[in-house]
Parts: sequence; C-alpha cells; structure tokens
Amino acid sequence: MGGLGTQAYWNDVETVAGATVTSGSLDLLVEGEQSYTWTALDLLNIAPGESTAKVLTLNNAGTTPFTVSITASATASVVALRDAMRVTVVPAGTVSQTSAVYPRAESCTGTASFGPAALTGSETTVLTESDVVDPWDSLTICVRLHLDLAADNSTKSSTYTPTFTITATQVAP
Amino acid sequence: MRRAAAVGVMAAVVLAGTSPAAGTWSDVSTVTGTPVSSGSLQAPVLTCQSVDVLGALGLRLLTKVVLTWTASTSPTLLDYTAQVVSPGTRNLAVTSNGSTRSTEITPDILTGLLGGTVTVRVQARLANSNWAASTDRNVTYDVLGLRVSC
Repeated sequence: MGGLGTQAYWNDVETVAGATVTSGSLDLLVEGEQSYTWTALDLLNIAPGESTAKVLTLNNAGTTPFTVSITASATASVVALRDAMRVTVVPAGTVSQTSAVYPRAESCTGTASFGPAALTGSETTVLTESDVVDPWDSLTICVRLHLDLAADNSTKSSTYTPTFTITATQVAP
Repeated sequence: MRRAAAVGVMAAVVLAGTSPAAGTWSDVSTVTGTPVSSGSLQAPVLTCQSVDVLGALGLRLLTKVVLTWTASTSPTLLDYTAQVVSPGTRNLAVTSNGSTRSTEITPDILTGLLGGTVTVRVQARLANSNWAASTDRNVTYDVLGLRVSC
C-alpha cells in the first residue's frame, strides 16, 4: 500500500533595498542671507535733486531653477518725504555715478521694471518676473532712490525706509 | 521648514495621480533698507549792529541797523533773502562780502517806528528747491529815537 508523499515547495526571499530619494530644494539668498538689511542703500543727508543707487545680489542656493518677483513698500517719518522719493528698479542693472558733490547723483543703467515712482505704504509690484536663475547662479537688482527737486520743505530732517519682499518661484519642469 | 512642506505637497500630488506640475515651490526673502535721512538747512545766525549815520559836522543824525550772518555751504552755497515781515512787508537788499552776508534796516524804516518794533526775516534757500530755513529778528527803536535794540 502506498501512501501519498508530502509535497513541498522551496522558496527564497531576497530584499532589495531601494536607493534613498532625496528631494531637491529651492533656496533664495539675498547677499548670502535669508533676510537682509540693506545698509548700503543710503545717502547721508540726501537733499532735493540728489540720488543714490545700489545693487542687490540674489543667489539661487538650491537645486531648482527659479524666477523672482519683487514687491516693495516704504515708510517715512513724514508722508511728504515718501511721496517725493522716486524709486527705480532695474533688473541686472549696474550703478553709474555722475556726481560725487551736490547734487550727488547715481543711477542704474539698464531697463527699469519700475519707476521712477513713489512707493506707498502698501505693497507695490516692482518686478513681475525675472529671467530664470539657475542653481548656484545669481541675479542682480539695481535700485535707485532720487529725492525730487519739488520735495516739500517739510521733508527736511526726516527719514525714509524702503522694504522689498522678494519671492523666488520654481520654474515648471 | 519650507522644503519639508513643499515635499509633502509634492508627494500628495503624486499619490493622487494628478499632475506633478500642480505643486510649485517658492521661497521668500525680505530686504529692509536702513533709514535714509534727509538733510537740513542751517537757519541764518544773525548778528545785529546799530550804526550811527553822521551828518556833515559829525553830528549823529540817524541810526541804521545792520544784520550780518555767515553763508552756509551745506549742502551747497545757499541763497539768501531778507524782508521786513511786520509791520507790512518790504524786501531788503542782501549784500555779499566773501562768506559774509548782510542787510540793512535803513533809517527811513526805523524813523517811522519810534517806540515800535520791526520784524526782519532772513531766509536761506536751497536753489531750485522748496527747502528753506529762516530766522526772525525784532528791531526796536526807542520812543526818543535815540537808541535801537535788536
């Protein structure tokens, strides 16, 4: 009499470890910092007819290309000074100095994306969209402040503070 | 933190089977300027001097008043005007001698003021602008017309 034999199946399991997927990054730095206080944008005792211009460097410290948009606002100890301060924003602009004595004058060379015009207390778009900034590349923005000759007498001995909010947005693949 | 949030959004989008392009990363930086200070103009610092006007025999006839000040060169050489602002208004001539400026309140103005006061305003102005700074000085002629104070 013959019995039924036991059937057996062999098996084996191997584990394949997947590679770690690391996400990219989008990181905007302004002069190497996340938030920046722009001390260079100044002209001591600015008077009507005078202007100053300085360049800001924006860096792509991430792995993703982006474009930049900028809004700006300003505060002043007297509103008349804010109204009389003409702001110009020039992407990729450079500074040109035309006079170091009164009326001291500096300007931004290039095509303006904003101005010359006054900023208000509310955010105003001064750059809608920049050229693409690739990873580890940079973009320069030239900003000029010019105190209009028609500035009211009340604008003496006052202070003016501009603020720029810069948004880097990933470029769609 | 920004990166982590963005990755989460991207993962959810992929799992749901929708287009990965629906998620877009962004980063925001704020740039604050330091306060830009506007300049000022120095108001004229006046020095007052009464000067006797002598007659042919050396007799004191009348007195005039001379206001002098040093012209400011900040931010550039300023323009100056002088004016009687009370009583009434009357423009006065300003003369230059180097960096010194002066104006005279002549006897014809003062003799009508026995016992009264005239207010003179000297104004500094930045050319081609609305910036100005002024100083007022009262000049008083006594009742007898013998002495001027200012």
